Amino acid sequence: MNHATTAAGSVRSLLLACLVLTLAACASTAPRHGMYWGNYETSLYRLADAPDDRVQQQHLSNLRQVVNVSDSRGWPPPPGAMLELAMLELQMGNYDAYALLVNREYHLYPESRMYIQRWFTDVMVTPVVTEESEPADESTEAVDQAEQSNGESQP
Amino acid sequence: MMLRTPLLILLTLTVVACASPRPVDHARFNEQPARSVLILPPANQTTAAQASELYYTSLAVPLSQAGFYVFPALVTQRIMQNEGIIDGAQLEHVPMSQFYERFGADMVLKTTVTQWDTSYVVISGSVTVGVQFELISTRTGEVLWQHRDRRVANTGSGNTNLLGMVLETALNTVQQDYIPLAREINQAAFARVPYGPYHPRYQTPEQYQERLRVWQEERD
Repeated sequence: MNHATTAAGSVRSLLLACLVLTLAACASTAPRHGMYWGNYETSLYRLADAPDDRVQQQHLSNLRQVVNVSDSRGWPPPPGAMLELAMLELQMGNYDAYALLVNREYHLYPESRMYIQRWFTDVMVTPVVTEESEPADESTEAVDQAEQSNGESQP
Repeated sequence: MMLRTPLLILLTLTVVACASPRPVDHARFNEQPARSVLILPPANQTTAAQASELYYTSLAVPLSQAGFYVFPALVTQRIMQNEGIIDGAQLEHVPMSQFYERFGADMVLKTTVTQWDTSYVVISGSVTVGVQFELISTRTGEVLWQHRDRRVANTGSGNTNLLGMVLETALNTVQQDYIPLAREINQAAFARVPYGPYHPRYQTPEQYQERLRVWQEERD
């Protein structure tokens, strides 16, 4: 009698262990978190299909949403999103937003730096001091200094 | 005794879930910097005039989700257009090093749209998309990964009234987006590329070597 309950008990715990392992294994292949693109692709497609001002405006607001939602969730905005938004903000005449976004991308993604230096020259030639780069942690400061020694001018 | 079958199933599932899949071939991605990708305008081999531009818009998001730094699609497209480049075929003879010098890209994604077709036969129609992919190192010019795929979607009607069927098929086929098919193709393609540095499951070259060693030991 006693024997039987122990056996059932050990089967149960084995079953439980299996369940836990299975669930854990499933969890590790679950969709990853931390990147938000919202409706970006939809308006990018429409811009390619039939560009007009309304569609470009839509793309601008989709990109703003990508950045805002990412920020509110504590995720980094996805690669390139802030640069693309920057370009559209510039076309709207929003120079401050433009400079801020280019700086954020520059500091967040080191891979973007050559691209920015080549194609967003107006921002990087006279480095803009933004709220984001002001509380400069040591790593970004080191980068800035490295760049200045590479021939970048200080304002 | 009733417990035995579910237990067995669970055990099998557990073992299957734990078995690590064959590692994607990283070797070439580990030999040189491979963090950022410049997506070139697709080369268009079809008669659909817009195929290149439309297909281009479906690439940046899945590639960034695979963990790579992807240069902004619209900005890159406009830079290229300013230089008069609309179709990837125009870049055929540009040395790969140019894409590092001008864009800072570690890799270039070259695609060719081989099919972008609609066929429409009275009450059934279909859409076909075919694409070839190549990821190329801008440092060595070496092809790091290549892939090709072609998919067909039927656009037949669910309507049982014949006239309705004819009209609906025509409408579906005209409105049928090629993009859902393109997305399927891209998803399947990029699943065969090792994770990039911004993916939570990215493996450094050292981690990859270790995993490969473990995998080979398990197999032997």
